[in-house]
Amino acid sequence: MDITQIEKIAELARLHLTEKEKKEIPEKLTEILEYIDQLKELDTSGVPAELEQSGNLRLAEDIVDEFGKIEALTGNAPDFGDGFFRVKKIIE
Amino acid sequence: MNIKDTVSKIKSGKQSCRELLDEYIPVILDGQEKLNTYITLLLDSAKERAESLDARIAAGDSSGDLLGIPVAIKDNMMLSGTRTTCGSKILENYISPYTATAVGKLIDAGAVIVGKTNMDEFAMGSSGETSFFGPARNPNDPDRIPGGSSSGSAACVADSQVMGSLGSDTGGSIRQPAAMCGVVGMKPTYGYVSRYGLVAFASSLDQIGPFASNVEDAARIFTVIAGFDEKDSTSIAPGESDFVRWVHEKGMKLKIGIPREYMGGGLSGEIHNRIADTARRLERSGFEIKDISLPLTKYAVAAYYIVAPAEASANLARYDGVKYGYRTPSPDDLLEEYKVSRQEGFGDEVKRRIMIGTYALSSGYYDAYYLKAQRVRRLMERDFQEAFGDVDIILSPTSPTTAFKLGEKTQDPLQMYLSDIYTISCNLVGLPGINVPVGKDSAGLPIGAQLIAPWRCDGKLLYAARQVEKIYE
Repeated sequence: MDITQIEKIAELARLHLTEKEKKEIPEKLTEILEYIDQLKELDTSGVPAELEQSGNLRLAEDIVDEFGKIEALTGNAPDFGDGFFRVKKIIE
Repeated sequence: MNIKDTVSKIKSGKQSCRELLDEYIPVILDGQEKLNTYITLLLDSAKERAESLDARIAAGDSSGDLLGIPVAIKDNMMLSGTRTTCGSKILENYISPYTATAVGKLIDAGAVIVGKTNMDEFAMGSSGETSFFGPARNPNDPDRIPGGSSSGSAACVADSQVMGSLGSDTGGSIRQPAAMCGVVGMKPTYGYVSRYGLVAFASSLDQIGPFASNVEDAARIFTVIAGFDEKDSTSIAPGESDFVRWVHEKGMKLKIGIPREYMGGGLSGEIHNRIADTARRLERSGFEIKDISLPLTKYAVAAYYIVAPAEASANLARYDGVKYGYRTPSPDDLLEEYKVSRQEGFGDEVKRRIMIGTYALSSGYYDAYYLKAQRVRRLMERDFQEAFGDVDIILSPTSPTTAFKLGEKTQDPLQMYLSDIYTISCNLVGLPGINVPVGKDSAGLPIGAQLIAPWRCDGKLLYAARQVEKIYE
């Protein structure tokens, strides 16, 4: 993995990388990806991409349920006011 | 004394909940100083809670299977009004807006929660060392790691600071630290314990389970926390309401398989011999032992390090410094706010996994990585189904080594990942597994045996665990 690829993934992951991280990450990631690549040895053609038991998953009914403790949620926001989560201006 | 006898003592009025807690508090404070087992101690609220339970008992209500029992919970589980940090700077000041289902069940059963335990950041680690709050230490030797990621939950039970605790297990994070610390740690069948209120790491793998000093106590805590929950879409009803009875079951014959792939290269000689010895002793007790094969074992870590980071990269996308969590002080614009908040708020291992996961899910790579790994999981499921067609239970080591020194593997992520090689398959396939201590090695460090049962056979797993425990009593 080269630095261009690393920077592209970091952009997708919304992660800023420091100069130090840009130096260290490629080597460690490459080593891990090489290890992961051994899965290529396995023939998985025609094999379903889910476990047999995962048929137990279900969808919740789409019904609004009152949580009731709005302040407990908004109180965790770094910047909340007038009913809004405030962020940096995004329109010039 | 076990949980049952302690609860009886409280119910009969021989000891109050507050008196019991007061016995534990000095041990907790001492342990916290030496071992850094907690991220947040809750001793004031625990005292209030014990006193209110005593008032309830005085008023004639002494219900609850865990009445007055001091317990701890991993700091990735919500307890309304308390901090839930997940071992991360990004959640350093996050206050739980509600209580996790499993934690609520402990409280309903009368437990007294004394603190929220130290852990690897976002449960990503095998040694406890990725915690933003510094590593927890192993009570058997404070220069060694307690295992991870539920490092504090294992250490506080091993150090007798509490009678039980909750951890979460995504690739071995309950069983491996239980082995390293010398306690019982159980990962139930996927779906048996609700994850509502558990901070998500890898949703197709995460499962909450108990730590305790013996199999019966673990079964008791598991009985309390198990059950269907509408709030977790993966939740399934266990179909039975008492798992403790399995611990007292007698005379049930089991055919126990030992997978040869779990006994080979990379496994410490002393652990190998101890597991072989355990098998011989089980055989003498009348159980049939069989050599079996799980040929895909060597691919488990590779499959895991696609699935877990991929799901983590999606789950951790929510930490953007807007609705909650750390926000960098003075970003230039909104995009910078996201990127720098995440850079500063997450530790190295978490960022590494977000990067791997984002790569595995990125356009053009999805089929080759995530989809491939998912198909490998199905093949591994077939492996286990075949094995369980022949045996009732699988016996193996829990970890290839005993507790290693702090700092020994921090510079080599891949070596760290391989310390979960025997525990990861359970998560990939959704099976229940448990660690049972089987004595110590020549350096005095605990050795753990892992048992694995077929899907939804958690009761049989506990029965088998009790049989192994008996050997070393």
